[in-house]
Amino acid sequence: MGTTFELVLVAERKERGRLEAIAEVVFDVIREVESRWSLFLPSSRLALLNRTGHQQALALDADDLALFQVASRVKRDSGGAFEPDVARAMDAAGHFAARGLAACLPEVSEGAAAESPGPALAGTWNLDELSCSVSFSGLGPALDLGAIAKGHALDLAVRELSEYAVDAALLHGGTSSVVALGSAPGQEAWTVDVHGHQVRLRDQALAVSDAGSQSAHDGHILIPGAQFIAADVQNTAAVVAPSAALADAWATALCANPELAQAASGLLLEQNVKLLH
Amino acid sequence: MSNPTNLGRRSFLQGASAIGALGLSPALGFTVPTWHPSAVTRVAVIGCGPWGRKIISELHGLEGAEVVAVADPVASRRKAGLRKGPTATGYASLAEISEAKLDVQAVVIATPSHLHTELVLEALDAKLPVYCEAPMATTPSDVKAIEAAAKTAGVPFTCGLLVRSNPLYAHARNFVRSGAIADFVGFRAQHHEKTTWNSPAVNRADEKALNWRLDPELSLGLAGEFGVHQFDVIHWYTGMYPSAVRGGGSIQLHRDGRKMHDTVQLDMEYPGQRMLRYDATIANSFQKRFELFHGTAGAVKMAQNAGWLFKESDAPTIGFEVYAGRQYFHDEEGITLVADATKLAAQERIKNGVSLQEPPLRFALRAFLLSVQEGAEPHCSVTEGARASHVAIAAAAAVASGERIEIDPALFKKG
Repeated sequence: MGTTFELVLVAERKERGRLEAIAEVVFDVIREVESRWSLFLPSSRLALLNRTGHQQALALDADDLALFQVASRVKRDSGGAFEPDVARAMDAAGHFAARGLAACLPEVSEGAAAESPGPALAGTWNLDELSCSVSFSGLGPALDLGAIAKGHALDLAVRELSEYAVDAALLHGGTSSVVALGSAPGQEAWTVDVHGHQVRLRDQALAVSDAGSQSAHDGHILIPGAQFIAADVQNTAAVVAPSAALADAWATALCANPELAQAASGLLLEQNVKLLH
Repeated sequence: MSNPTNLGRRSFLQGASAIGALGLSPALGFTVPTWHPSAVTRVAVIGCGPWGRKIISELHGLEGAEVVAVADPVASRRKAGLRKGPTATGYASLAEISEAKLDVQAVVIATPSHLHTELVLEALDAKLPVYCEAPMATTPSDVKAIEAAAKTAGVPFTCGLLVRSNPLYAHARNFVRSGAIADFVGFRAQHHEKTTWNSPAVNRADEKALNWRLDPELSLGLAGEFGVHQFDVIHWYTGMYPSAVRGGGSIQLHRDGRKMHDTVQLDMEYPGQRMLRYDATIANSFQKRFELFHGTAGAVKMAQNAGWLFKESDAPTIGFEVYAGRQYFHDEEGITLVADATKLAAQERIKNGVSLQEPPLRFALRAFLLSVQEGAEPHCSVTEGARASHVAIAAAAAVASGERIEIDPALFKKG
């Protein structure tokens, strides 16, 4: 994720020590998501999956399974506009290097590359919900969960806060993913400003995706397909959803393909996903 | 005109000579030898605190292991443990697992340190292989009881001193022991981590039990909980054990009524009038954790998933420096220690260094499974676990008393 997370926790002053301890627990949860699903840490689960997913399924725990279930569902419902299998294309387009990051991607043998020229190598990723595992059907897939992991981390953080009976908090990751737990003191909701629009959130998540936000010359969101072309840098999307992972994934999908908003409006409503922008 | 073929050949030859100079082999690299276990070991993890959950999570993802039970008396922790090990059943204790007559083949003990002894003895008595977190216990008599039981149980016992299964530390140890920094001058180590050490409880009745680390009656404090792992690095790299320790502690940040120091310093005396200067704090995080070996030809600094060699100007050339990456620390040039240096150089991947491809804990748990399934030597024996634990107990006593504590050399005798 490589970004800043901030928490605002609300409680009585005498609870300050306890809240600090709870905040530490929450940050540990966020760090754990980073250590598991970062594309830039060689020891992460994601790096392991990208290295060996074509040979061996990666076992998922209950939280991992929830992450991949959201990814799989949004990929399906967005017609592939949200696709985590973009790591090679993102790397080839120089998006990681532009941020000073080195992705941990397995090298592809010349033989495998020859079989399927271009950035899209053969194969796809498969989630097996029965065996709680994820695997690759070929050598090609290399996942980048950057468009959903922040939201996933925030969802786990909120769950942790709820278990400690914290009922009012605002959390964000990199300012683009926000979760509101309960409401601000004396208010009916938390108010978040998105490009001058006031968004009121209560027990909801907001994600903002901006195709031009991380690169001056090219969109950092790629439209999945045979060639992985960059989305128009003018594309932006702001989405409110019941969970931050869902909001994150849909914001990316809608940024990659703004036409989806109309086509999938019924589906989005069914998932309690609201497109703001 | 350039000739790529010839250049490639020259690079290869340079690589081949460097392999000879360092005596490296691919087995020392960071890639784990492929292990396809023929069996699956049914493991119970006792203790579902933050570290216990990491253990459950790693075991769940490891081929050759099935987490069949997790145990913790605190319901919220047990629930969190089950999320990490979805194939397991939750219990309140090892005794409950035993009563349920569950088919368990190995036990991992990750409870608070002062609770290890009874659990380890119970598991060994049932002839179950044990992986016990460090320190093994918090009193000399408990450490001795575990050591005696493990030596007679006839089943594998591993102490969770992680560096001993960390390939980077193993590589650097070979390097140090082959004389790369010549004679030892002295040692430094630190563990800095800004944190409260407070454990909030979902149910406030559990708060006292969860905050055992802050209770001087139960816990060895920073010297024991952090220090034990780093004292073991010194033991393992040098083959030396301390004869005495002097220490002190204070509360620099967490003035919340606690009695346990949040900052400690130690001076440990080693053979040849060498000293280990150690400090640990939860009030500051600068430079986090490292162990530093000063030698007459250079210094080696180890920081969990990275290591560097700092050469003296009169030190001889070893060979691998040609390929190695460099990092600068103020005005010191650190040569990145990387196993498989020549292979990585050929792939033009060495200049930024290469990190471990697995978390250190996974190496340790895999090594434990290997000892259970194939009779491999444990990565950290009960003897070395006991030695490090005795040193940690002495260090904690030195911090608590502010006095110089002598350490009985009989604790380190062979046999």
